[in-house]
Amino acid sequence: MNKRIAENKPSLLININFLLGDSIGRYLIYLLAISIFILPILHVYIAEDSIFHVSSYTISLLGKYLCFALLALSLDLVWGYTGILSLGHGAFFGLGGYMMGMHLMREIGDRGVYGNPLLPDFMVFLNWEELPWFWYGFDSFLFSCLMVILVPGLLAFIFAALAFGSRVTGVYFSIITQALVFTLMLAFFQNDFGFGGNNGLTDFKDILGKDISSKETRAVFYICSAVMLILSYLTCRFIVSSKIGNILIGIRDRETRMRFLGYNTTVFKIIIFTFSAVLAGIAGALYVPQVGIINPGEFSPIKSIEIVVWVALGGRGFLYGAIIGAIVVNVLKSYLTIISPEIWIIFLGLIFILVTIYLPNGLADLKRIIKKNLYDRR
Amino acid sequence: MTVTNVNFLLADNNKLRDYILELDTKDFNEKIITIENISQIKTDLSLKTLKSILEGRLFIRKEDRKIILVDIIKRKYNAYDFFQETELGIVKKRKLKKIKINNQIRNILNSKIAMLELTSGTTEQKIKAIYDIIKEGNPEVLKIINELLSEEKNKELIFSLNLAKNSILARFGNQTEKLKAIASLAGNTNNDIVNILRTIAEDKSLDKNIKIEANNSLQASLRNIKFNNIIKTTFFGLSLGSVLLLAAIGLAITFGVVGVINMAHGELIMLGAYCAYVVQQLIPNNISASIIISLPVAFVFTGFVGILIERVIVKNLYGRPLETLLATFGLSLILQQIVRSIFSPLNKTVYSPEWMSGITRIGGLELTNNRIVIIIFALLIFLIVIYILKKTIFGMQMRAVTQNRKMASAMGINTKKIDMFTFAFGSGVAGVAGVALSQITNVGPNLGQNYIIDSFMVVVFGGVGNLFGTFIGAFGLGLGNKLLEPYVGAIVSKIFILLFIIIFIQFRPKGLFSLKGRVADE
Repeated sequence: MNKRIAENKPSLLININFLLGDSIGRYLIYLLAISIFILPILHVYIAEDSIFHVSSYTISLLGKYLCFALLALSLDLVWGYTGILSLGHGAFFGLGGYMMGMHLMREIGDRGVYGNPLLPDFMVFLNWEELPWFWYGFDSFLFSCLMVILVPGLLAFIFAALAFGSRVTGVYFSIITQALVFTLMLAFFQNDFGFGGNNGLTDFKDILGKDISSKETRAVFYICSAVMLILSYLTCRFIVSSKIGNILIGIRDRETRMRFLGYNTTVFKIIIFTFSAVLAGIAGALYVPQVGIINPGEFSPIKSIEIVVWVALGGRGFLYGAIIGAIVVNVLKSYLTIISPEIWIIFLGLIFILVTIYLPNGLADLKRIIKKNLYDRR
Repeated sequence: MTVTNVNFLLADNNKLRDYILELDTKDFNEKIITIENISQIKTDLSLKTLKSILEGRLFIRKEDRKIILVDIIKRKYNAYDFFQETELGIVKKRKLKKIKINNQIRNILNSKIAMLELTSGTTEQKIKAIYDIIKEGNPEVLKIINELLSEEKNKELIFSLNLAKNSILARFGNQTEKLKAIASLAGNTNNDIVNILRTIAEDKSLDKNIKIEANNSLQASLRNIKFNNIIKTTFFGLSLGSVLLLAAIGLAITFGVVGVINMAHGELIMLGAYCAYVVQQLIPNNISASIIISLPVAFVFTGFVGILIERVIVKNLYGRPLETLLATFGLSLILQQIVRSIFSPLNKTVYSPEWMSGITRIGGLELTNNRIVIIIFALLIFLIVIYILKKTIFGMQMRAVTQNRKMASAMGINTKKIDMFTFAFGSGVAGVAGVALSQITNVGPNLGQNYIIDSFMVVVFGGVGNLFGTFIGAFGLGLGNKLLEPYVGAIVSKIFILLFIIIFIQFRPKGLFSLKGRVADE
C-alpha cells in the first residue's frame, strides 16, 4: 500500500525537485564546501591590509547568516514538507542559544566584573547566594552540547505530542506556537527566572579554553556553522527523498486521506517537529558565540515570524530555498538597516505581502516560472 | 480686580510678618495670643507659618530681622526667604534666632493647624485633612471637630468627622466613651482605623472589656477589608476583561465569521486610537465632544481601511489561511511604520473628558471612573454587534455565508460582497475599540501589538465563530489573570494564563463553545 503512493502518484513538487531543484541545491552545497576552505584561510593568514583579507566582522556576519540558514532549513522541514506552520521556531533557536550561553557564562569563571568564582555577574548583582539547580553541569562543554539538543527537543516533543495528539492543526497550531514563544519571552524577561533577565547572557570570554574573539576561534565557528549546515541539508534531503518524505508531503496535502490509508500521521508529525526543533536549537547554539550575546529578544514573536518570511521568500519545500531566503533577507536587512531602519521595516512588510500573493512558491520557483513562460511563448 | 486682590494679599502678608516678628519674645502667654492672631489670617501662608513653627523650621535673621525658613540637611542650615521663597544658601546657626515653643503652644498649634485645614479648601481637601487627624490622633482637636459637627451639612464630611471623633475618643476618652467609640468603628476599612483598633486590642494596660470590644471591631474590619479586596479584584478582572473583549470582538467577527486571520487587527485598533487623537487635535476645546465624535470617525475610517485590506490582500488569499496570516502580518508592519513616520514614535496623550476621570467611592471602595465607563462601553458594543448579527438583514446574510457559503450563494446572496462588508464591519469595531483604549493606555505605534496575541487567545479560547464564547473568554481570562496576580505578580500570572490556554487548546481544540454541525467539519 505504501509502495503505491510512492510510485504511482509522485507529487508534482518532488518531480520538480528531481528535475532542477537539486542542481541549485548542489551548487549551493559546493559553494558552501569551498567557502569552508577559503574564507577561514583568507581570514587568518592574509594580512589585514590586503584586499583579499576577510575581516573578523565579515566572517562573523557570514557565520551568523549560516546559522539563520540552518534555522530556516529546520522550519522548511515542518512547514514546506509537512504543512505545519510554526510561528514559534524562535523558541527552540533561543533555547539552544541559552544553553550554549550558559556554558559560556560558566567559562567566564572569576573574571567577571564582580570576580565571583561561583556565580555569574547577574546573580551576584541580584544578591543570589548559590547557583540554581538548573545551572548545574553547564561547566562541562559536552553536557551543554547535550542540553542544546535535549532541551529544545524535549520541549518540542511534549508540545507536539500534546498538540498533534489532540489534532490541533492549521491556524490554531500556528497561534499556540506563537503563544508559546510569547510565554517564553515574558518568562525570560523576568530577573528572578535565573537567566539574566532582559540583559540576557553576555560578556563571554572563552570557549574550550580559547579566546572567543580571536581570529582562529572565529574561523572555527564559521567552519562549524558551514559543516553543520551542509550535514543538516544532506540529512533533510535524505529524509524528504525517502519514503518518510512522501508520507510527510501526503500529510501536508491531505492529512485525512493519509490517516484513512492507515498511517499514524500524528507520530510522523511529532517526530519531524521534534527533529526540526533540535536543528533550530543547534542553530541557536552556533549563533550565540558568534554574536556574543543571547537575550529574551530572541523569543519575541516578530523574530519567529521573520523566520517564516525567510522560508516564504526563498520558497517552501525545496530545502535550498530556505537557505537562499534566509541569506537574501538577512543580507538585505544588514544593508537596509544601515541606510534607514524605517525603509527596512516597510520593505520587510512588502516582502510578506508580495511574496504570498504573487510568488507563493518563493524565489526557488522563479526558474520554473521563467521556463514555463518561455515555453508557452514558443 | 486683580490689583485689589494683590493688595489684599500684600496686606495679609505684612500683617503676618509683623505677627511673626512679635513671636520673638520670651513671654509664652504673649506668643499664644499672637498665634491666635496668625490663625485668624486664613491664608495658605498662615497655615504654612504655623506648620513651620511646629516643625521648628521658622527663624528670624538677626541682622535684618528677615523671616527665614530653614531646611536642616546633615546639620547644615539651608535657608529660604519665607515670603519670596528664594534660596539664600547655607546660613550659620548663630546668625539666626529660632522661634521657640513649649508643649502648651505645640498643642495649640496642632489644633489651630487642624482648624485651618478643616475649614478651608474643597470638600476633598477637608476630607484629606480629617484623615490626617485620624492618623495623628490629637485629643486637642476634639473640640474643633465637635464645633464643626454642629454646623456641617455635607453628609460625606459629617461621616468623616464622626469617624475622626470616634477614633480620638477610642484612644483618649473615658471608659464608656471608649467602648462606644470602639464599637462604632467596627467594620471600617481605613488603614489607620484598623491600626488604632489593633493597638488597642493588643494594649495590655487596658481594661478587658475594651480589649474584647476592640478585637471584635478589628475582626469585623478585617472581614470587610477581605470582602473589599475580593470586590476590587473582581472589578479589575472585569476591567481587564472588558479591554480584552473590546480588542477581541472585531477579531471574532473577521476570524470567526469570515475565517480570515487578520494579524493587522491590532493595527486597526491602533488606527482607531489615533483617530481619537486627531479628532482631539481638531477640537481641542471640547474634550467630551471630541471623544464622542471620534467614535463614528474611527468606525468609518478603520472600516474603510478594512475594505482596502480585503480588496487588495485578503481577496487573493481566501482558502489559504496561513498565507493570509503572513500577508496581513506584513501589512501590520507597514501600518506601524507609516504611523511612526507620520506621528513620530513617541506616545501621544488623548485627554479624557471630565465624566471619565475621577473616582467613584462605594463604601470603602475606590473605583476609577474611566474603568467603569470602559466596562459599560464594552458591553454596549458587544450588544450592538450581537444585535446587528441577529436582527438585521446584513447580519442574517453574514450568518448564512458563515454556515454554508454555497447554499447562501444559491439563495442569491452575493457572498463576495458580504465577505467584504463583514471584514469592514470587524475592522470598524476594532477602530471603535481603539478609541476606547485610547482612554486608558498611551497611544503609540505599538499599541496594537500589545493586544494582538491576547485577542487571538480570547477568540481561540472562547471558540471561533461564536461571539458569546468570545464574551465568556474575555471576561474569564481577565478575571483569571487578576485573581492570580496578587499571588504571583502581573507577568507571571500572564505566563500562567498563556500556559493554561496552550494546555486548554489540547483538550478542546475548538475552544469553549465550538460550532456544531457541518461548519465544524470543514
